[in-house]
Amino acid sequence: MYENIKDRNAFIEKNKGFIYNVTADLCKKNLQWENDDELSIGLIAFNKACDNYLENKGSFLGYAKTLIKNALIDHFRKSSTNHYLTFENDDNESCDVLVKDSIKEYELHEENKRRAEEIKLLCKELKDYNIGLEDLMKNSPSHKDTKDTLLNIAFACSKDIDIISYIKRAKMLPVKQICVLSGANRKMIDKWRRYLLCLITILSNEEYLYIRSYLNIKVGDVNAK
Amino acid sequence: MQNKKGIVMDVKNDSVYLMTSSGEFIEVYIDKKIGSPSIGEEYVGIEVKKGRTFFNITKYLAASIVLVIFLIGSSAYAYYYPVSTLKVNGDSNLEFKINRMNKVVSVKAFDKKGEDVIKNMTMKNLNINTALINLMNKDRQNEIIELNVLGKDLDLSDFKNEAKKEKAQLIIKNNGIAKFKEVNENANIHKNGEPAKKTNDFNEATNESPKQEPTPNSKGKSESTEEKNRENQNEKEISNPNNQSNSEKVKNNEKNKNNPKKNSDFKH
Repeated sequence: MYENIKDRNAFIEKNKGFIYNVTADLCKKNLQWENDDELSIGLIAFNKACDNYLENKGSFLGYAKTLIKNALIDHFRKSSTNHYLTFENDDNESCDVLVKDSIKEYELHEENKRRAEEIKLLCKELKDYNIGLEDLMKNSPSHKDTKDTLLNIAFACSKDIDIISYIKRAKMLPVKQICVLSGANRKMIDKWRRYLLCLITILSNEEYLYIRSYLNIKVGDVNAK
Repeated sequence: MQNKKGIVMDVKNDSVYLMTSSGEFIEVYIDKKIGSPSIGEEYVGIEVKKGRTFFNITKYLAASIVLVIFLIGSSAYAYYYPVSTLKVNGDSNLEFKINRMNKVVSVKAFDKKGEDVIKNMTMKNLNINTALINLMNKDRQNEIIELNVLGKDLDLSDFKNEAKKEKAQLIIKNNGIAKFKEVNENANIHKNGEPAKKTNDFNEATNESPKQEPTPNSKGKSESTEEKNRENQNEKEISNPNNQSNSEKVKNNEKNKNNPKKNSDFKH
């Protein structure tokens, strides 16, 4: 949409606030347009959304948000510096309000459809790893620290190509390697291995766009933990 | 119950599986009013508190059964474990084994008369006093009833009272040492053994051959003054020592030199 470059620029300018909100929310800090990479990444992602948006992808802003979040997570994944990820509870995100205002019922329906497709795919992949949804329900951590720790382990694993290929090949977690990589307790990894596998799958697989963006992942600095 | 929001992963009969934005996988109840959602939708519901679905009851059941069996077993053991033996030398020659609660656990006969008595009369699980009273009332030819208690002291006051009423002649020995006597002085009485030394040695004998617990006693001659005091029907307080340790002490007892024959019966 907005194929015309001039119009495109204008459109992006108009939505700068939106882009800023989404990005800053994920990064948990105040950003500056001049300095921070994250904002440029957000911009690029927004631009990409403009290029690729189709009606059947749901609401535009929702789609844009998805792309921005994914691009940021990818950026952090590929960066060499260590970041600390956290799950945040349902905050009152300012961008959410924007998104929700613009959603029409049809668009919502489409968005749900996208998500449903991804979920079906995810369940199928989990079945390959011998994980059923019931297992996941019963073996899901509820304590925030546990979840954050596991999220970071999963994130670190998703950066590591060896681990990913091992998982795809053996359909199991390389527990020892993960212990070495993350320095975590072996007992913990054994206990939450299903959850961990699920997270790694979601984070590392490009296809799970909507699922990934639904997760309220915030990225911060290691020191800011 | 908290309301949780997430995207639907799977739909079950009464509940749906959600993935929350905070990365939890939970199960929530379907609200009938809102209707059943489809996969991919965002849904809000009350979380199903599973409690302890994996609460493995069989482990605890097995453990409690073992405990119950153990308790039953140990109480049975305690109940049936004899702490005293009472030998009756009277009409019939009997041996009662008695538990902590003064109840008869088993009874053995050493002569024909005794066997008859046991066959005709139930004495198990009765209080020893009751059993003795029954025994006394049944048939009494001899004048004297002699009881020898080994092991824990027995409270035979009921029986003593009955015996008094019946005007029976009664000698009660405790570990071979006469403790109670109610005899007709003219009657032919057994000689009591030598008095006990303060170290609680045994130095008296009973008529029967020694069994496992009792220290074999020898029949001594009454010579000391203490012995004469005995013949005044006073109850003496004599403590009840461990039988086995005394078998060695008895060896040292000079009185027993008189009866070297009996030494051979001692346990070494």
